[in-house]
Amino acid sequence: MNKPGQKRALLVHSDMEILSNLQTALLREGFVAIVARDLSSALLAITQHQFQLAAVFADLGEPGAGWPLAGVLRLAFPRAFVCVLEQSELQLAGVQSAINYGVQQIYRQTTPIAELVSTLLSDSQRSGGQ
Amino acid sequence: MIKSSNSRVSHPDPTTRPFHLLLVDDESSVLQTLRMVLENEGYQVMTAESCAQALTLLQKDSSFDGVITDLNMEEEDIGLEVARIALQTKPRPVVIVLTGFASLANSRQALDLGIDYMAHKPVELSDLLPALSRLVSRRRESDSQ
Repeated sequence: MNKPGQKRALLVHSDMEILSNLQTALLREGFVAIVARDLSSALLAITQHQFQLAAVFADLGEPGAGWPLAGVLRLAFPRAFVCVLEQSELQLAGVQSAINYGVQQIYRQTTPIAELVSTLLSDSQRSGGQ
Repeated sequence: MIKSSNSRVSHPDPTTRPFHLLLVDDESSVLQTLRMVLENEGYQVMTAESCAQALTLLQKDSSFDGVITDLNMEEEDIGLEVARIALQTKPRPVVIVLTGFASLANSRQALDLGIDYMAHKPVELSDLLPALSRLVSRRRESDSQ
């Protein structure tokens, strides 16, 4: 249960260690972070909570499978900041998927967690996503 | 060049006023064909044949609900300038960029600007029209909230 006014984030990734590190870093920034390791858990979380921020792994289960979920999150929570984590160097196809799914930003998941969360929160505030 | 499609697309809601679009492309044939297609879909379309002309129209008239612009016109990637100015308009229009010359750099710029959709040339109407319709519906919903 989160406190009134506390912001909620949804983190979707198949790697539990990455989820846990992101969750801890976001907790420090005042977020309650709900984690999901697969599509069905993420969809269940969407039906149960409101989110102000969401980060989805692009290759959830299979290459590119995270993009449609990110698009669903943007539709479900139009005021939320939705970003995608990419495993490799940014590719043209990834950037265009981000635009066309309405995702606000893409980050490399190899970025150190503290830097990733700091950039993510700063981009989120700039886009009015919180 | 525009590719036609047999797939059905949803039309803008006829009970509301027509969605007012600014269409920008320096290829006259693309401009006129897309204009015809979009008007046939129920949109009200104004055209510009250059970035400069588009910027003049955007400064004069802030009532555009959507802006569809080519990327390369007078200069490479100049369509991003049309997109940037359009995105500063209040209320913010839906912004779509059409390009046959997408690169990581210009796509990244488009993402950072916050454009709503990027379509490849030759334009696939089966992609563009549903995307436009979806974005229009979303905009109408957010306007009514």
